[in-house]
Amino acid sequence: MKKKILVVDDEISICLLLENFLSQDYDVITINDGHEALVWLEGNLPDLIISDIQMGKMDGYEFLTKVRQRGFTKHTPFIMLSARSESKERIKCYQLGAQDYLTKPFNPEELEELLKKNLSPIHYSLVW
Amino acid sequence: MKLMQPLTTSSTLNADILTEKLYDLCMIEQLCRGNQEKVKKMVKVFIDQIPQSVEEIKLAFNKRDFIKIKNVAHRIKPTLSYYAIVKIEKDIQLIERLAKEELATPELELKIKRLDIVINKIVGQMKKDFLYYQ
Repeated sequence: MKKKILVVDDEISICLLLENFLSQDYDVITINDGHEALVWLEGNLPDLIISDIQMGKMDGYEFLTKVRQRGFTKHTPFIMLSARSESKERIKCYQLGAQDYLTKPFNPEELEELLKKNLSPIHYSLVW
Repeated sequence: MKLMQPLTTSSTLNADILTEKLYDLCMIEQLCRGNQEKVKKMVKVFIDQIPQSVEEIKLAFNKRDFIKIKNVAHRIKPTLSYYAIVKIEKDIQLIERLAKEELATPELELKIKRLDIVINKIVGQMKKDFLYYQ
């Protein structure tokens, strides 16, 4: 069974791009804002979450904070995907509980590696 | 309030922009793993979404809503990179920065006009390149 990835981004083209890229290996659910994503999470549990930071109704920081406050998603791997490249942004995301941080436009290979690392950490460590 | 004037190409663009190809789908094709149907969908989304976002920026400029300009510019910036729209790469960065500084400068207005013209040109090129979409 394919692992399930939730993508949260208010830019439709980015959502579609990630869906196109990832759907070969994963079930991909795309949602355009943090509020809606939280509603979706009430009835669903993804294996990993990818989220933008700057979104209209609820930004990625708040979304990540709420994801970490919820019992079921407290430990769900979370990758922040943002056009912001400053290290202070990365640090803030790590402090809030994100596993990784990828800058847009992302390198597809790097995203694939991050997904492998976060979805199969033991297998990934054995590979090298 | 002074509204943005109708766009003219002569003062805001170099002549080469009117003739050369302004986008490249290499990265989109890579991310779509070569699936041409998915590439077409990506082109359709660009044509449907990005001109709307540029309209949002223009309206926001007329209202001097700098937060809106900054947010929309930030939102579309990565998308422009994926489509390799290098001609306005620096312009969109500058729009975001000037809007962050809340400066309604002639430079900001000029960059927004340039963004509008180039995006319209690209949409025209995409429609021509992907005739099935029309």
